[in-house]
Amino acid sequence: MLLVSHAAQKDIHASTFDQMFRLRAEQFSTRRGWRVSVDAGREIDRFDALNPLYICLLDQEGRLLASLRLLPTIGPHMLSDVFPEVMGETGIVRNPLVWESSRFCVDTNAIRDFGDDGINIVTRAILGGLFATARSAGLEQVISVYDIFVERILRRSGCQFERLGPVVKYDDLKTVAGLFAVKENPLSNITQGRRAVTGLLAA
Amino acid sequence: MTPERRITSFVGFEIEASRTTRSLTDFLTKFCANFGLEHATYYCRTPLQTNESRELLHTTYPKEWITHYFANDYQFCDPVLVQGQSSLLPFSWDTLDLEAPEARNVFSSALEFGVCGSGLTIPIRGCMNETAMFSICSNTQGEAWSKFLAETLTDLVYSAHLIHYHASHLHGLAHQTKSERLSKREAEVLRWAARGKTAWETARILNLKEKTVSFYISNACAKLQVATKCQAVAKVITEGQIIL
Repeated sequence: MLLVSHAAQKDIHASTFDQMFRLRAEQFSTRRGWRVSVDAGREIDRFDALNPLYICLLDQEGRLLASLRLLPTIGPHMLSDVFPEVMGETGIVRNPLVWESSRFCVDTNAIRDFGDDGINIVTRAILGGLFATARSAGLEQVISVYDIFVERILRRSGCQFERLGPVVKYDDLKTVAGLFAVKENPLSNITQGRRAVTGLLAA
Repeated sequence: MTPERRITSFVGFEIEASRTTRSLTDFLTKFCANFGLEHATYYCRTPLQTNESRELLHTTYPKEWITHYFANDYQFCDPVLVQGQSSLLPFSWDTLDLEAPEARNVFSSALEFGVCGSGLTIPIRGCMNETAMFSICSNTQGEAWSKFLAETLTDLVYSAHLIHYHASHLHGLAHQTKSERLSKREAEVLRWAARGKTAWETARILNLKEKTVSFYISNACAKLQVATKCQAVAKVITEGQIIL
């Protein structure tokens, strides 16, 4: 099941939000060793205070499998404020038709239940939700910053994207920026994601 | 490649002519007439950096309805305003939660004033994180309404931001003075466009994909707050931002 929710609705979806901040801490700090600040087992940064939109993939028991965060590029976002170097000559984007996806993470323990192809199944499902949401927001593109390990996961899932700038090392971690077309993306038509979205594209 | 953007072109052209706040409301009337809509509304609550909170409202709704609306404090329970302030996603009014009697009351009262039909609200989150929204109202319903939205959503979202930028500017709000410079790539693609090259030709020259060139053009238009590539070229040359 997909949950598309704003930070402002976090009281309604308290359990899912709590699972998400814990998963982020576990994946980013414990597993990958990123320098993120973790408080009481939860990773929350200043962009979470800007009422972003989250996309969460849950199993039937309500256990979180994967999540990501969306911020409009018109306002503060990670590529403008934290990692502008990876955009290279593309520069900072300020476009109402382009949003940034960040904090993409997958629960690597939970996906084992989905067999050998678990990572791809879960990645495709949450990206389907991302593109369905982007369509219901009228967007043209999504941009994102991630390390080359995530880039490999995205590529294996069948998602189409291209690099926007150079590979830049932050804390010895090779990092890149990607551009994702919304309408033409092969993962854009996954029906699973579309029902969850506000009804604009209910067809 | 780029779909036709009738609404954006109209807004980009007509809004430049709105030199007073009064003419902004006239612009909305013209906008509705041109696209077969019943009503259009622009609303902005300015950021609370100071203690003073300012609100901007431009609408084509009948005066009687506006008076009734504020006299009854509907702004505190109107489900459109509630969702529009917290949401990032555009929403059709038929998806609103009308469980609460106060919320239902706003809609039934609107009906009595002849304000009815289908509605769409586009929340706008500005560069200073200020919230605004642009709403349209139509007599079209069901399938036809869904089809209209599916075809024009991107166009309407971009137009909503153009209207917000222009309205902020007219009202002299601080948040509009912050403008981002064009990046190297954005300036480069506009320079080739000014010399008459298409996106496809520019892609060949710069060894990029055509859709990447279109992405840079779209970003440049957004930073310049214009509707089309031609307007973008005219604006950068007038402002001396690029040299041919």
